[in-house]
Amino acid sequence: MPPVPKAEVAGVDKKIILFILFFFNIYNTLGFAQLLPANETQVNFSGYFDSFNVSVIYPSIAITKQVSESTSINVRYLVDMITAASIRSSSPSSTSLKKVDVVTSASGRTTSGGGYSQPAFDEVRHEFNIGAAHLFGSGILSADVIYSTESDYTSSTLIGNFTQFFAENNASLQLGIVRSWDKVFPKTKNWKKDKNVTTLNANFSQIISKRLILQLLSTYTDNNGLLSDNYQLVPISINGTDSLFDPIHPNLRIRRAAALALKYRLSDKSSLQLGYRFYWDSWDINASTYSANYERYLSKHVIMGAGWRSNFQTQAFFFKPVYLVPEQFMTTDIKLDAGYSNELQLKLILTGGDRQEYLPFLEDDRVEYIINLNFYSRHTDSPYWFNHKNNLFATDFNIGIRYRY
Amino acid sequence: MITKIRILLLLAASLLLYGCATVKPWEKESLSDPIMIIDENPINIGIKEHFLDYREGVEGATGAESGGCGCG
Repeated sequence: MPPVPKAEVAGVDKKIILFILFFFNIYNTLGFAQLLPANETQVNFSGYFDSFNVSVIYPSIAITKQVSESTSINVRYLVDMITAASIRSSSPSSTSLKKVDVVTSASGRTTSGGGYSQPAFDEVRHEFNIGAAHLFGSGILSADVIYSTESDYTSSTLIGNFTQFFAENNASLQLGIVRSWDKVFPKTKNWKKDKNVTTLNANFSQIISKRLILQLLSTYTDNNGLLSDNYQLVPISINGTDSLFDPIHPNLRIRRAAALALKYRLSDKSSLQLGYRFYWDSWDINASTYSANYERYLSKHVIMGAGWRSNFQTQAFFFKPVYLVPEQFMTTDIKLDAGYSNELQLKLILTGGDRQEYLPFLEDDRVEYIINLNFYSRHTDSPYWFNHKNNLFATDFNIGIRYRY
Repeated sequence: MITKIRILLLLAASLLLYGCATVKPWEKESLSDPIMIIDENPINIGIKEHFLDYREGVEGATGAESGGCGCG
């Protein structure tokens, strides 16, 4: 940063000059104090692969365009293509365990006998998003509409956010509401049920010092309707005969979370982000999530990042490893069991700018290449009902290109 | 649970009081760097949450959970 002038220049207050000088540099990119989103096109290609033979390929494209000085619009389209999307029973509520089909695809492909299907896309989901943001003085009002559709599920979502900056743009308060209307119609059932979700968010950010930014996040979510995954069946042995029953979850779930994040500038070339999130809900699940992320410039145009995330959670009050008789509420959904998870997160960002003989694609300073690679493991106290494994290992990646203009 | 929330709020409040000393615009250069922006790429964050949401019962609840049952 150039030295701050000690006297006014040509009668103009130094603050005004500096404000003009740094407005676009800082005001538009500063942590939380980003005003309207920058003009950009972003293309991502992501993938997920785990030891339960689930694979997901997940390309997306997003475009943000400022249409006036105070308004921007954004559109996004993504598709996720899933292999072994769910464990699906070919029969209704109860059947012999030996007759369970592992995968019954939307196209009718089946694999029987307890083994996994060969890799192929079993289900495709399309998601469309359109939104706009408008600047009101030192506040931003934004709204988004999302529609998602797949063979057994549709979801319509409205999102509204208002962000107010204050204290010389050192602080911001964001209030948000999200409402979604979902329709669930499993392939193995002949009914259609509703799931409605309302979420309220309140987030606060503050620049603490020249090196430190604080962010506080809080969320309250009301879920009601069909809250179970009806492909996660409940095996019960009755009079020596193994049968599968539909899961029964309470039709109301209140979820709350509070989180704190700190970003600290360690040196000219590096930063450290620490995070903690506490979660609790009306199904008696409590969780603590810890995260640490380190970022460093390897050169002027190369940023590397490494992070760690750990999550510890308790189980839902109605989760049991084994049910001896049908109960009012029952589930085998392993996400609702007690357990812990760890993740190693690696990131590499290449930004253009200099003419580079061997990397000609980095010449354009408007382009940014992003590579993420994560290694995830999860342990649950009870084995998964279907494959009897307690541990899940997964890898996911993302390759993205960001073009700003 | 209540204790954890209180500790979180206390820590946040103490940091906020510390932050009452306003940082001037010309002092924010180091904060404008990409490595200092929290959740610098919201789309990437969304992709990450999408995967975690189907692995952990406590993920999600962020309000942007459109989409179906996904990978089960």
